[in-house]
Amino acid sequence: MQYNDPTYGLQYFEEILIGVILIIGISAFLFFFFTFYKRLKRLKEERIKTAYQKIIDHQLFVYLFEDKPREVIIENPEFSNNLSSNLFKRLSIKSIISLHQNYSGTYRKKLENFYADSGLSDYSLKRLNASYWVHIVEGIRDLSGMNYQQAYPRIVSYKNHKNEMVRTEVLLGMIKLKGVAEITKFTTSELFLNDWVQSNILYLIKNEHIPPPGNFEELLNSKNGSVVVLAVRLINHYQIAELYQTLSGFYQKTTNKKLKREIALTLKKTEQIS
Amino acid sequence: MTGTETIDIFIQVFNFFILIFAIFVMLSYLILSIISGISLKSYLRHNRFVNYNALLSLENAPRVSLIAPAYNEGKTIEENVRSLLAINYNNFDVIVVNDGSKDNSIPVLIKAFNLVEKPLHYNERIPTKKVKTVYKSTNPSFSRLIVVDKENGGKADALNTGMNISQNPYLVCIDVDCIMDKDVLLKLAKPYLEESNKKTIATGGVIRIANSCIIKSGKLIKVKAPDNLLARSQVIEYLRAFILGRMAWNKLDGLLIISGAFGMFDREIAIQAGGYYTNTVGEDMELIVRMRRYMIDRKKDYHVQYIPDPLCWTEAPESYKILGKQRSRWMRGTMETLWTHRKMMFNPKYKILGMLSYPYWLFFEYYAPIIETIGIIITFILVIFGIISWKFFFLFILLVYLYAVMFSMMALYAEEATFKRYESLKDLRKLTFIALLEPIIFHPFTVFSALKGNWEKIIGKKSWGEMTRTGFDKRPG
Repeated sequence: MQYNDPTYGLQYFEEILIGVILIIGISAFLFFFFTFYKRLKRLKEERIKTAYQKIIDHQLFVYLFEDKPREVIIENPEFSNNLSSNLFKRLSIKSIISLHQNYSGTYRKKLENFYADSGLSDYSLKRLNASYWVHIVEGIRDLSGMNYQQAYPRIVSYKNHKNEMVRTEVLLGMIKLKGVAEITKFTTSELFLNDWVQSNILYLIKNEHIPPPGNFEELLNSKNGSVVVLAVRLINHYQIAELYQTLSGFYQKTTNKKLKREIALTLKKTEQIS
Repeated sequence: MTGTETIDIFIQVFNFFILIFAIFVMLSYLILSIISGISLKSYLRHNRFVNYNALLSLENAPRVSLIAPAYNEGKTIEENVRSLLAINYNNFDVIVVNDGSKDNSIPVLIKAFNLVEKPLHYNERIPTKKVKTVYKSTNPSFSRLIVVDKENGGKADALNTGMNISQNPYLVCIDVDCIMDKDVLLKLAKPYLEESNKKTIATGGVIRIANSCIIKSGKLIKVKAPDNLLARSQVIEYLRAFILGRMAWNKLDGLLIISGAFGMFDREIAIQAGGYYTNTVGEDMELIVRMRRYMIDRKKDYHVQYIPDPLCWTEAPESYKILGKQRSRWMRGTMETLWTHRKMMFNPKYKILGMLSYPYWLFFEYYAPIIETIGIIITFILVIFGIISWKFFFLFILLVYLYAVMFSMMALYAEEATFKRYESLKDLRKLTFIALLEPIIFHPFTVFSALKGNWEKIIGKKSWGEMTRTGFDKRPG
């Protein structure tokens, strides 16, 4: 019957071929559709973002520079009605953090109070409860960026989180909230502070003008080699002259090439200064 | 079928072989795309929190030498060098190696940057053509610049000269006429800061097509899809290769190439591995394969990192003539590298490189154009003789066409979901249109050029071929 027909195999194969063509054709169309759908969705989101940003900028300007009580802003329907939107909350937090970085003194304090009283801090705290590490990092960044001291114990509780990005953010958050001395809590830890993490710590310290800790010896005597390297870099940054002698001693003793290099850089700079 | 048993068996074997090969090619592309998609998503998740400027806080940030070989670039060299000197990084110098240019490159540089001859202390760790003079600037603003004038020896030789001259532990080898992202060094250097147990020996990034983009004073102002259809086809091709291909190979730790237009290397490892091989036109691929082999042969843990961000923008050929020369050269380069490192083929010592990457390049990059051409010719003959029906033939062609379109659409989707560099809907429409056209106007020509590359290799052609470029506006605004 069919099996004796030499074209039977080919016909069967052609049917498969048509099926595969249909699947591939539909897939191509779906990718085309999703690309444009994604683009249109993004454009719509951009429009909403622009509208939200306008409201946020206006309200924050009125609050900061026209000395309106924060309750007035928080209860303003233009602001409060939009607070149900997560996008609005995220944009508000971003704007407040940005202003917080650019201002000091009373303005800074006013922004911190606004962040706490408007319920935006609750949103950030909720992010800490998320199972998704990205949200946890965002939460830590927002809370520490806004100097929300009440969040400190919660942030520290993530010190040994399985995700490396979370652990790094915890360390940066701790420094932002309590100062450089927090690094001493890692002197016996096995956490390896690679150069990338250290550059982030130094950047934070420089940008936020965080004062030096009083316990450099503790950092220098750390069992964690990466903390020792960081300590030398911090001494270099703060130019702690009374520790240069100690560093010279370290230079003679240590066999760690990287540590030697960092100490040499610090001491070389000192000679140039004196 | 034909009534002759031998011919029938041959036809069946042939059909089976072509079918299996096609399925393997298609499946491999699909699998690589899935792996790429997953790792891209993970990369972007991590990267949203990265502040590259933090690296500038580190006084001991990796010290880098940018090596820019130049040959007869007199017309644009001043702007190109100024553009390189403006890169956002703290510990770097720029080494321009004039590879025996016959034009006025050196006088232009001397005048523009107040160069004076510097006593020559040339430590020739890799043998190169004779270095005539080394120049440094008397102007402190250009203290990062070193210009080397040497006898002509080709791009690889010029890069080797730069390696010898450099005093820094890391090298970034670039094409002088590319447009670099201002944070290019920060992004390339980051993996070196993150290394813990494994030594990072090389990092490389994505190259994109700059044709029709708005460029002012050496900076990319606005990304646009090229108006020229050939250049636009290459946008799709580059998206497929870089977004859907290399990201996956990076994830599998099987990356065999870091593009010659720019990549960052550990200088010591590159020198110990022998530097750039001057007898190949595919020196970029060859070096990375050799460095990897060097590390594996010495049982050293190492890492090669690919950065999916678009960091380098280059001008793509807009004519079939120039494109043909480029693709033929690429094919010769592939052949030379594969032949030099044939020992790696299915060699378990080289792990994923030997067991997967090398065979993939051999079968799907080198053999694919040959098999594709033979397949089409024989199938066509079988159709002419009525052994295969026209219906079957066209169905098969339609399958291949649709698969290519699907793959391009997938790349466009990946771009839209990740870097979103083509901002206008018009550009998206232009790219979608070319995705439909590319399998007809572009792909057959690249196959032809690859075959030409094979032929040129057989007849012993070694030249690079002329690569005429229109050039970008790098003049200060």
